[in-house]
Amino acid sequence: MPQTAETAVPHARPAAALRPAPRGRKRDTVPALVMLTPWLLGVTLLTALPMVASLVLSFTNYDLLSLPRFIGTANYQRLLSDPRYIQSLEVTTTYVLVSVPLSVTVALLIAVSLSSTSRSANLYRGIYYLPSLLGGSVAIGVLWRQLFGGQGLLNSVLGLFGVAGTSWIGDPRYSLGTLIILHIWQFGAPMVIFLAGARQIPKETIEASIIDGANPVQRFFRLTLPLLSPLILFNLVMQTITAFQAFVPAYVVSDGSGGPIDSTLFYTLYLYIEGFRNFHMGYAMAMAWVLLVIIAVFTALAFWSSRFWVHYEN
Amino acid sequence: MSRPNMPGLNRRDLLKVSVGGAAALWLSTSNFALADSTSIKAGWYGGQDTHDRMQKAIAQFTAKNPDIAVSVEFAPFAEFYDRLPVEYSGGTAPDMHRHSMTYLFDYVKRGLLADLSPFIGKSIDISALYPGVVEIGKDGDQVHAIGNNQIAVALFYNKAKVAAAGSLDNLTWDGFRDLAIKIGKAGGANSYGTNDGGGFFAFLELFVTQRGKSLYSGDNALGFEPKDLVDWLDYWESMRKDQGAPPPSVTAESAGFQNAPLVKGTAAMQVGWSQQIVFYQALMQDELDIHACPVPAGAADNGHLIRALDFWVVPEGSRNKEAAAKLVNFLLNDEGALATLGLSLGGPASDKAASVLAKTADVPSGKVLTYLADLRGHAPSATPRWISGHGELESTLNRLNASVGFGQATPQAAADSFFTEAKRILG
Repeated sequence: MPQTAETAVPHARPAAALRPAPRGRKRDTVPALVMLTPWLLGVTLLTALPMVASLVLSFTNYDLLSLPRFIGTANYQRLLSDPRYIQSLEVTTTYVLVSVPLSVTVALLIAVSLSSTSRSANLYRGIYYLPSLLGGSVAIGVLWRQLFGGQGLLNSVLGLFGVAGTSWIGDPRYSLGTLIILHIWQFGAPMVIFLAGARQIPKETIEASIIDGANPVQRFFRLTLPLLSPLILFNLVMQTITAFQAFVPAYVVSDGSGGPIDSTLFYTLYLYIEGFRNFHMGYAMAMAWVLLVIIAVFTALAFWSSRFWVHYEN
Repeated sequence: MSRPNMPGLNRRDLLKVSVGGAAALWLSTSNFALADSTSIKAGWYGGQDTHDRMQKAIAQFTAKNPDIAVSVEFAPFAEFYDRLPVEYSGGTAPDMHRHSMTYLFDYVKRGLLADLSPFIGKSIDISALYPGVVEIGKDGDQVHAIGNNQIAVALFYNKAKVAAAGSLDNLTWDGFRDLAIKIGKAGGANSYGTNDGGGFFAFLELFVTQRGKSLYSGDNALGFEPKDLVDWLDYWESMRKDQGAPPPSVTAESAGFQNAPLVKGTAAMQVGWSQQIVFYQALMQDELDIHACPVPAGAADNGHLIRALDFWVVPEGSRNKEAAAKLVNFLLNDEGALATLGLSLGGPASDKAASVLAKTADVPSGKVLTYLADLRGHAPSATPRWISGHGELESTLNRLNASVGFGQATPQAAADSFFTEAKRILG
């Protein structure tokens, strides 16, 4: 059938409209690539290549000072029989399992209590966020030594009540506990996220629950908590990753040794000691890759469990 | 809208400006040297006093050698050695730097240090140095390091407190323990006789040397037996039990001169490296004195070693070895530099240095010079080296000594663990 003008035009139009498009996309692609080049170079040279190099070096005997020598999976095998590595794993896992839930809980409770719009709430939000601004800095590590040392502020206060203190950072029974307290104290970042979430809870919903006779505790557990559960998941995952990578507090408080007797030997601190002090950089690389797997497993577990306790409105 | 007609940069001008600007930037930030001028970088570790004195000494060097520009980098010991392997790996190590024997042979073994033999007798004069100062840094015929000091382990003590409790004359190990416990108990709670020396590897070396053994045998084995280490750890545990030495929780907080029990007034004695009395004395009012360490009862010789412990080295990768060698020579031999450095790098490495220091020495420095001069009369000039892996072994001993103190391990278990670790570390 011969094509009429009426039938031909609608078909011709899209074709005609599409033809310049590839040229337009091409015109856009080149400047886009040029603009992206710094980022692409950065991600390739500073992230991707070092990661590949790290993976390759984890299968070598590399001491930083001479050429690496391929040794297969020996570094990974040594992990299983290295008592200090096992100790660092225990210390770090304890740190994560205790400090992360506590830190998230404290952040949540304070965020909910500060979710009003009063001026005093604004002031307290700022005050509570301050420790997070200082973050895991060296200065905070030094401050912690002064607070929890044998002649520190805590023992001075205890002394006022006739209680004989101890060296909280020098005694392996308490040293990790002081670092856990330090982590919990820095609850500002998750608190801000919870605050943002708490302010998004519709007023109508809260009012409805009040009309229905729900008391504050019921409102918290039946309303606030379920509605904030996606943010709890987010904070748990982020805090877990951060806690597994904790380095500065243990380095400063223990003078870089992970002591006393390895009680604060965090995973990353031991990795650092092996790589840079003991000249076992290949071994340290293997540790780094295992840490990546551990963090991935913990994150996956958190996401898998979320189906049982995270409430999504849709 | 038309563009305003103004004299702007055209593409050619822009190119010129860019190239010119980049060149200017490169010249200003790189180590670009003008003709007839050489730039080198010097590095060292130490405390603030060392940093101040070294910079003054280098200023003296550049004043006398205007054709050599010297940039510097310095840090406390631990931080310096955290950074150094990365610098060697990246090819940015200083052209000459201070090197401790703790890690020296880790670098020698890997061929990272230049052979200084070609410079000896030309750029570097070693004729005045004490016997052993050069030899200890040798590997075969090659000289990889030249000592910049001679030091020894020593016992510092608070004169008044020790005099009130007894005497250090004819000091045996048992006598040292009795005295330490007596001082500790006399002072009441939180008072101790001496610092915990159980984790001090050089002190253990003295202990095994007195038993006719050595720290190392050859290049990859320990030179003493597990029984020696058990006795050593047992000795320090008996000290801690009766206030002779502080518990490990206190020792864990005593890093740094300012935190030492001697300075804090919680102990009357402190074991350390001879020149450290100067640093301790600067931090306290009570007068300190220096004494040789304990000996076994009836021993003919006190077993003390006097050795170069810190060195000047030039990396094999340095492109300015000649200029670096000149700086090494200046720091070893120039009287002005020796006077400026004082005892900040340790005891003198030559009679020349000793006589320069004697002229300007304050009271604590004078005590160090006398102590080392006395030891030099008895100690062997050839001293054993600390082999590759020494640094890791040192931290292992420190950790295991604390384990015994915290009741986490018996001396026997700790010694077994040390020997197992040593086998892995020394390969």
